Amino acid sequence: MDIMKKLINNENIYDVAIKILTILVGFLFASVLLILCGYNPVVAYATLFKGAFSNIKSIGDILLRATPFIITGLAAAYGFKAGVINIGISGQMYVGGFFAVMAGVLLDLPQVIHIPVVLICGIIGGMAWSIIPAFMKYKLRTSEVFTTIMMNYIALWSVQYFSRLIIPSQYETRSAVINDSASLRNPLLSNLFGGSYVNLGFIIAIIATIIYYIYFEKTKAGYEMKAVGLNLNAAKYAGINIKFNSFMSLVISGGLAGLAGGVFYCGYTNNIELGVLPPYGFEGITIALMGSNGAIGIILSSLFFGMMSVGASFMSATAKIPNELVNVIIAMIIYFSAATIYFKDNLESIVNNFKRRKES
Amino acid sequence: MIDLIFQAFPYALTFTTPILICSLAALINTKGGVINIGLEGIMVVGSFASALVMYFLYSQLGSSALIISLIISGVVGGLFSLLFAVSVIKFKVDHIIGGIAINMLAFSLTLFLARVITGKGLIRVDKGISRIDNELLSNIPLIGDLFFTKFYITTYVVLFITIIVAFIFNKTRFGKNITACGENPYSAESCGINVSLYKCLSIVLSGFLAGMGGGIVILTYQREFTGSVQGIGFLALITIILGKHNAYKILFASFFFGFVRTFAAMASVNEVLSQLQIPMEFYNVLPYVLTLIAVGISKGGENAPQYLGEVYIKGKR
Repeated sequence: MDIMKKLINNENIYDVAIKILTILVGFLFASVLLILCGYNPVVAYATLFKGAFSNIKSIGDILLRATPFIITGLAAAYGFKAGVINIGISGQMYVGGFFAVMAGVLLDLPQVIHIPVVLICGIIGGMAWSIIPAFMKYKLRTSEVFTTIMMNYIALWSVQYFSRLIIPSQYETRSAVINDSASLRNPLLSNLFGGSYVNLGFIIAIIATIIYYIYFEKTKAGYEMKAVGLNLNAAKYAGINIKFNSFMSLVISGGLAGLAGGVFYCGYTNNIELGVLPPYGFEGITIALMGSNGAIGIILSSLFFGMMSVGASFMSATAKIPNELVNVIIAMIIYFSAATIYFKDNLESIVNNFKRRKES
Repeated sequence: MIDLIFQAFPYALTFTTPILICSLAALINTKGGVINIGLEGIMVVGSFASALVMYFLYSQLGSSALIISLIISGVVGGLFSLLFAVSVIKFKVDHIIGGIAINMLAFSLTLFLARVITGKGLIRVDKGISRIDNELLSNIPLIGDLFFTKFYITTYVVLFITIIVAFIFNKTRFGKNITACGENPYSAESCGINVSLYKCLSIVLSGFLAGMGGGIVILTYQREFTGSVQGIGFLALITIILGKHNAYKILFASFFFGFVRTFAAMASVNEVLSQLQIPMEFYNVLPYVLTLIAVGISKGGENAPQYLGEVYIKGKR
């Protein structure tokens, strides 16, 4: 049990119990909805899980879908641990993706060098896009919530403009396609997973998660960052440079979001779609929330999200149930897991009461 | 150039209307100390309700369905925002996270239901509110052409609501109490104000307005439920900063956003504008950049409530 506890990042057992409970509640709510709409929930969930685990390719697809979830989840979790809410993940991801795609289209390098260059460009793009909100928070104490929302919209239109200017394609809504040497797609991995497009991005996501874990658990910088997030005044009293840390928290979170953009636009797709922000901004936050900001938690909840989205396409194709159902389930899970603290306190007090009664 | 303004004006007013009503919704929230990212979702729910009413009732009720549709969209928006109120006030969830949950639920639930009802992810509304000319007022030189030709009646309904909201916050005890809850809930609590109740009321009231805003989007220019209102809910949070948390200044801020949006839509179509050769992206980015600068200069937006976005825990202090 001790190892288990350590694995789930020092969370107590109530937290895990509550997480499972909220997932059940999400499914329960969706069942009610399904019955009201005249579907059979048993059939729905059976096809959902059957679709997700039908063959080796669908397993690969789960990993493929989970990849951007993991990295955006890390970006959001980093922010949470350092005490900021990064609403700007989608904008930072978009700009990071744009930088990465730009490097992928314009440069012509051998693959071993090209891929790291592309990813670093992604990280730089994401960091650059979060510098303004970070600076405003650092210098003017402006809430990052509003500034990052604005930066999202500025990203949306700027990327469209500069993409058409610098890397145009014959389509109005898409950029040019990246060179093969920049693509994260890997024939070896694809063959391993029966032709799925699962790519090096997943491995990068895992590496990023490991670094995230080591950073927060083993390094001084990570410890300081965590302290700033937990209690600003205590951190200040302990001599930690809180201004610098709160500046860096948004920038590093943005860098992770940029990495997610690079991985998404050079692996999942091979060009950048214009006029739409990537739909991972809020998902990243929900992943971090479900995973309690822990490394293992983030990977597990990303895999869960990936599984749900793979199963959803199968479910809507075979059982003719709209695949938005999956998002309803996830939304309900998020709604209740956000209230985890409230439920946890209640559950703890109930259990404590029970114990006390047993003793007396 | 003058012609351009005359051409753009009715469209600018059309775009302004939902932005304005949603900004008022955001204002009510913010005054009560609540940041509601979920406004976008609540608007989508309102637009869904409105489209649904039109889908089922228009053939039977004719144009009176329009009024019912607008009211229902508001009521549904208000009811839906109760979910947000419960999570923020009862469960003590962080406002941003509560808002995100509300958004996700709104987007997925409405699209799911739309697919169940119509078989596709959209609901077409064949007949919306039509543009009208006011016979009498449109003859006034200048103003008549600008404000009273080809306008939607909803624009003036929303203007009226603006006045009411301004009145509530400036003159009534109810408005002052909401403001007190945002400025300092603990002082308000010690004065005997039921903070949770007032916060809840402000959320539901703003949900009503935001839902109605969604209905206006559907019934005026969008004419189709697609599960999106193009980010007006987020825009509203920005508008109130530019409008310095004052209902009348917000009116101008919303109008500015609406006008720029019109220019963006007309940039490549209109002769005068296309001669200027300014890309449409520029118009779209402009309001955000300006607001960002304004926020920078005013150090985080003027007149923002002191306890904005903080979870209220009764008797904490």
